[in-house]
Amino acid sequence: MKQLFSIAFVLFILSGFGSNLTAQNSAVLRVITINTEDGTPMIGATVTLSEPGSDETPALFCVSDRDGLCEIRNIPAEQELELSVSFVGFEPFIERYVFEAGERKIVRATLTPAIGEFDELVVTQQRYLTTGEVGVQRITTTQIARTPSPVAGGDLATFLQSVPGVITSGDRGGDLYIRGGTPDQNLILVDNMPMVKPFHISNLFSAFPDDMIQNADLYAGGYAPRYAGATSAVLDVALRPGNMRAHRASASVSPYLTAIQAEGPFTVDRSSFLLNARYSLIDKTGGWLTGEDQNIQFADLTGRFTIQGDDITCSITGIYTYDNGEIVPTRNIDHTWQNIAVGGRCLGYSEFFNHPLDVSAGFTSYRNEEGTPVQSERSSEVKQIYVRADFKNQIGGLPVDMGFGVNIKTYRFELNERFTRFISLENVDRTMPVVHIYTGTEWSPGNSLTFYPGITSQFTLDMPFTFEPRLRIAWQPGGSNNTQISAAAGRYVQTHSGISDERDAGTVFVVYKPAEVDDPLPSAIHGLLGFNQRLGNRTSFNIEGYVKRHYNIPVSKWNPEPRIEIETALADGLTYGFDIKFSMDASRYYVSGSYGLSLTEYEAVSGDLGAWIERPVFSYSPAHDQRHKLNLAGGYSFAGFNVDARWELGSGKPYTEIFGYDFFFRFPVENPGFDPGQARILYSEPFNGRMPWYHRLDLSISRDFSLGRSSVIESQLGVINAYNRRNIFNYDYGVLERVDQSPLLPYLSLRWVI
Amino acid sequence: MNLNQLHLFITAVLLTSILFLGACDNSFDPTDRDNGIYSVHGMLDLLEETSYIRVRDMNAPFTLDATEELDAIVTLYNLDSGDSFQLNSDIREFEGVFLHTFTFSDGVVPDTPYQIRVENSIGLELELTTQTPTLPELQINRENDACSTPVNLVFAPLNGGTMVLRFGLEEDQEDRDGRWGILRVYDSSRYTDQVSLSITPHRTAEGIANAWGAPCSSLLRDGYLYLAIAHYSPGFYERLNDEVTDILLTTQQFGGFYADTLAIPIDTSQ
Repeated sequence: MKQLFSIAFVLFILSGFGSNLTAQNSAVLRVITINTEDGTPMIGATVTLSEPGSDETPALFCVSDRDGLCEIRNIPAEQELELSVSFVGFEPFIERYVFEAGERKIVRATLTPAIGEFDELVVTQQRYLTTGEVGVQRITTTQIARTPSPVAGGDLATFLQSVPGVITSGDRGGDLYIRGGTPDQNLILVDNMPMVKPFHISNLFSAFPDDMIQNADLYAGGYAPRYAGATSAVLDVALRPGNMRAHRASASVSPYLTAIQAEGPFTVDRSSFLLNARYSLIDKTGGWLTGEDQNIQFADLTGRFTIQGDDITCSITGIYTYDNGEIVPTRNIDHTWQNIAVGGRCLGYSEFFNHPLDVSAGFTSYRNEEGTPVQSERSSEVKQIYVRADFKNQIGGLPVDMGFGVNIKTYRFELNERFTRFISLENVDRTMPVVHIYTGTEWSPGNSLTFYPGITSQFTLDMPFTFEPRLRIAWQPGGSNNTQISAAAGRYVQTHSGISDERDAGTVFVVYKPAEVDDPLPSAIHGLLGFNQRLGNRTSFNIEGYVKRHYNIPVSKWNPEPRIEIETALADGLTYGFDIKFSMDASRYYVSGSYGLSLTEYEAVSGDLGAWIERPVFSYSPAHDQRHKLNLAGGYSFAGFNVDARWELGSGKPYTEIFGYDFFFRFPVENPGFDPGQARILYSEPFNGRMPWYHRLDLSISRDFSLGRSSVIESQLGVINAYNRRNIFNYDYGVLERVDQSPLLPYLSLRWVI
Repeated sequence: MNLNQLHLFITAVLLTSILFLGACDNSFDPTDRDNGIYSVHGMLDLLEETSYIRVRDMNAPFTLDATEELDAIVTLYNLDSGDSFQLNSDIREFEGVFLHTFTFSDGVVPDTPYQIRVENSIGLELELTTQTPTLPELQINRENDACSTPVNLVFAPLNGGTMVLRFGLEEDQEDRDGRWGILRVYDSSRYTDQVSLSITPHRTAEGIANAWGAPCSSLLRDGYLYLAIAHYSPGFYERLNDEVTDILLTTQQFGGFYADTLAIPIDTSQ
């Protein structure tokens, strides 16, 4: 622990706390952008400083982050400059300032919606590109709300499935596979709280409806040094604060779920609360709507308290999620998982601080179980107590990000195998503190080329430091604001792994296991190259190529018989592919399309795998190796109605064929003349088959009905799987039946907002 | 967007829907039909009148319809004599599945190569070969039958098969298991052409009962030290007890075997 405190102390000093390392002949401006409607922060507002009346592109600019904060440094002193804060659909905030040398000024810019028709509104100085965006999907609430979902508004889970490179195992299970990675290789942060699986058993839902999210960033690879502990992808979700100016409430109902939400200020513009609760109804309505029982239940409860000071913003967030049900309806095996998360976060941007300071702490817990409806037969649990601090500094003229975190993880699992004649009992209870430190900087040798080098390291009490260098490069040819070529690369390490029976899509039970002391840590090397082009204000085109090399992936040992193996073999994985995205966005309509090609292959020593394959090294495509994925989405607004459509096409995923059906004998105790033997199904060579292609069309039409000045009914009529395609989910070897995903599901959802 | 653009959008959505409405083959058969034609589970028992061999079409799921007929001709060959026997099956139903068990009652010859061939109507076949174990005479050498007098046991000749022995205080009964000691496995790596072992009945009995110092009469109450013998074809025992579940091995269990129990008289009064 001495190491930890030393590092924390050094970082704290380097953060320039209370110091005045800023060049004395320049000034610093911090702008907090506030939406005047609800008093909450605005993300993506463009902030520029320029000489009054100048037509040149401002050299001093920033874009507000998810906290509504942005910072401009190295501002010349004793010179009048015009501050402009702009955002599409809002009146720009314009004021003039003269900065004193060494001054750190904080400006709260409140933006008011522009009144009138702004179909063709063009905001001057709007910056479309933030640099180094390869591998990053910035998700807005508008994008989420547009994706047809059987509730009023939308849900992050539905939107994520439309992202190329993001794959689910079907319409149930709540697992996300991102560009070749498995769910346990993803890091999910919700306001810096590390959560394991905040996704519901129906893949249409997560714990994050669109109206709870401020924004979300999906890093499909090559992510920045501040993220550690995951070798594949990062989903960083920021929840919105409650309304700071008015009390609001809503209640909604659809065949899938019912929800209530309440929010409002305790003190106007100073503190607010936000509460949201959802409870599924599909187990009660599904049979009537689809003709098939839908034995799944889920619920979530989120509460958030936010305090907004003049120079500090703090929030406390609590999330609880619960899921239970059958992944395969015929199997009579229940899966249950729960998330509990409580955390606080403070962002200080006082003039006293040389740079903003971000501190978070909290507790999260995740538990998943599998068993019969009356008895849990195996469980796995991860508890995390975390503290993290993120700083900025200016060293040698370069902006430097740095930070550290401590995550005390406790892993517990109990396994009681019942499937086969084999009996195995394995229990683990282990606590492991993981320390994470990082630093990174930004260096621009020219106006159009920027390097973002950084390094991350993790260590535990019994494992050495990891070495995780990261680099992002952004090049905007000719300094264009519309074209960008960016690249990213890095090494990523995690100290745990998730083990599941990959052969069986009908189980989502995962054993979360800490890395053993002498085991090599799971790691990955990512490389990405992207090209992003904007064509005018409405259209954008993006193409990205990527490669990920995973090392030491623990995969459960193969056994021809269906049972979970806690013993693992180490495999190496290679994923490569490319994504193409196109979108056209106008005020009345939007069209978007994406295509992803991806190949994932694992390789392991056959002997280590315990497989019966005769080759010394066995290569196979794991269950999430979906080669092709195409998404088309579009929407149109007319006469108060919004029509949205989404169509998804995916190639078949690998599965393990049945080698045969057999009756086994324990010779010489049993004899075929007198004993029947033990019925068993034997798996064939791992993942030697592919399922049929998948496609589905979802449609919705929505309209809001005003009931007076402050009361609105939001309605949505839609259908999931509009042409009732029989998309296979898996084949249940237990009962020898094909299991399909959800059939045509019509819905009408209503939300009353007051 | 004008009206034409709206029409274009709606048309695109509808066309896409219709295009893929019935497209793509959606059928699904999870069975790997390229591998594993039959499973065979059977032992040629040298001491039993009838040997039983279960044969199953591995591609047939566990249903009555799929298992009512077995497309298989099962033939057993004595590779020394050249005799062949087409085996008949006994069919019975068990929990919704028909089981096909083939019988051989013409006597199994020791130390003889046998081959079983299972062939279907289109010519696909599976052949398994084994060498039956020898049926050695047990030679018991001792000075007298006193409980403390060493006994030398010799099994010969052996042809590479594995012999598994265990001593016991009581025989297995219909309604209860006997009292047996640990298994002693003699595979071909532990002998050349015979297995020889020496024991002292009293110490062996003490070890089985875990009652050191107990009088012989209280251990061997009926005056016998029992010896259970299981003798397997070369390699057969090892395949049955392989820790790695190899599909081919575990679905092709075919070998020669016999089991016997000997009672060695012991004078417990000495």
